[in-house]
Amino acid sequence: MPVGWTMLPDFPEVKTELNRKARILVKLRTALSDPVLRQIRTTLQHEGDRPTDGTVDGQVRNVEYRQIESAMQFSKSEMPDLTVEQIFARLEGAAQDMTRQMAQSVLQQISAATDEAGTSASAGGQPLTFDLYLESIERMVVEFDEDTSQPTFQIVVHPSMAHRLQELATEWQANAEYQARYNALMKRKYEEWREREARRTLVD
Amino acid sequence: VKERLVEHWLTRTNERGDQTPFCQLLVAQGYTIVHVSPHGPFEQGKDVIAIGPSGAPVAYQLKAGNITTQRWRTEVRPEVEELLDIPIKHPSMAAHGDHESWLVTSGNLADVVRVEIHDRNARCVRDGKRPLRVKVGGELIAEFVGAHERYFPVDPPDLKRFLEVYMADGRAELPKSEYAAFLVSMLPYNDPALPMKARGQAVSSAILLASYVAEPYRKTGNYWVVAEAWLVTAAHVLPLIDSTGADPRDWEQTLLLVEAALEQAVEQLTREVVERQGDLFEDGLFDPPMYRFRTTVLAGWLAGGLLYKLLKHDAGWRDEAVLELIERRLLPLILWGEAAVPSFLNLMWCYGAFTRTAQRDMVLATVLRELVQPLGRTDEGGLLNPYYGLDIGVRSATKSLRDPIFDPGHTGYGRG
Repeated sequence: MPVGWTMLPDFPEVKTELNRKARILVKLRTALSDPVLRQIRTTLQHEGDRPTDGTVDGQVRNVEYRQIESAMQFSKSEMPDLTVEQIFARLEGAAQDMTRQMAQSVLQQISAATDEAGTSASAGGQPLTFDLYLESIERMVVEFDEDTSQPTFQIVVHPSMAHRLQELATEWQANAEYQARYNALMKRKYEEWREREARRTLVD
Repeated sequence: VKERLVEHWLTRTNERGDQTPFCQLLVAQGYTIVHVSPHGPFEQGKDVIAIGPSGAPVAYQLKAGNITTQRWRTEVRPEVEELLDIPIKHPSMAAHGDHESWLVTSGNLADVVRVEIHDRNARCVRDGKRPLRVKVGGELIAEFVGAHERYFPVDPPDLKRFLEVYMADGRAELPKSEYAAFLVSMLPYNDPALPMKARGQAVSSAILLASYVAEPYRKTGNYWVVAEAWLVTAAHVLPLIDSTGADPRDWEQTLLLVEAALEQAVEQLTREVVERQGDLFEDGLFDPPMYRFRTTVLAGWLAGGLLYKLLKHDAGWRDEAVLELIERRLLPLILWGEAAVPSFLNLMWCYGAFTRTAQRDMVLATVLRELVQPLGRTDEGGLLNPYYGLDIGVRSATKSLRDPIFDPGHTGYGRG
């Protein structure tokens, strides 16, 4: 109980339950609502104050934590009549805002890493073409599923681009020449992957 | 267990917390309480004034904890000097009469203090004055334990129920149904042949146990719940007293003590909220949905406090500051269930006493509308019946119910 407030009966048990629900809501919203974020494995760091990450070619780098935060505001006049539903709705809004920040942060880090590794390809503001698409895959280190031998990379685009990309994909799949070039590239990438796997040092 | 529990309570309370139970102890020993000090500047070293079984006036100075040399010199000795030297001034007692003086502490005396009191008493006896008598923690524990007689909970289910109430979170609501169930289990309602003395012991024990129950709330300054604890106790003790068919005056001392404890809690609550009305409630994330529930009950207590003073013909009953606080900070109230109706009635009667008839009628109309509206409905809406308390009202409003509410839309008043 903060100093200075009057001591009137509180409902600590109810508040504890609601706070727990709020934490779960924020956690679920931030972890599950974004299609990219929800596929990323999370680790709770119990010790130390800085994490590291590693690249496929064995480089280990220090990573700075970034604070993700969002604010909710309630005016003094509206507080007496706020309902739990309204509070949860605002919490959901804050959780979505944090999710957006986290997703942007992840994409910025990927962008910076690909620039550094030389695997990025830019359309320079021009519409996406099949050649640029193929060039992008060409620059990537592509992984394959051991069971299905299918490539495991994903294409992440802004929601506003999704529809157009679907149209392009249909168009490119119908083009025999494009398909032949794509298959040839994927065959080469598959061989590269098998070679990497064969060279991989097994731990224990 | 009895000794350990009394000791646990006694070592945690202060002189305000042990005042009512100490008085009840005196009543059980045949004393008549004449005055209980509100701890003001006119106390003159006398927290409690009583008349002993022999008719001799006695005055007590109550202290909590150990009396160290430093504490004796700065705090206790000046009060003891007033206790000894200033005659009791009370309309029911002879002016300038001699009285017995007691220093009562829940702790112990430092050696230096003990020796000083001993030497001082020797001088008093030599000079023909009354000495200071002292009662320390160990003696108090023995007396409290003795006063419980056989009414202290010893059966495991009763003891468990009592301990759960006693160990409750002092910031929270009183677990009223558990406390009421405990009182029902300990008070001998179903023994018409029980002698009057045994009934008195049961009531005495209940008052002492109420003091223990109220302690965690008193300690956190949760006066609203302290008042509730005494109200629930009174509601359970009165039927037992009534069933004796005895002259109510025989029980006057005990009832006055309960009333005084209740009055003091409401007064402390009122004073605190009037002084801190800008900071009535915290602003945590989930405080807002509970705000109206708390203001409704609070307004009921504040209005009830004014009405109590009016009924007692207290000249200061018409406290405009309290009514203004209710109007500016606590309204509109929320009729979350039939258990909230008393708050509305208190406010309505209070408006009536202040001759604000328009506001009075509006409160009455609100209650009637809320009570009558659900009667013709077949859906699940409507007021919670009066057996659902504030905690269920809050849980219902915050979608935190643990069990579904049975028969929510059909009010007890409606059925009546």
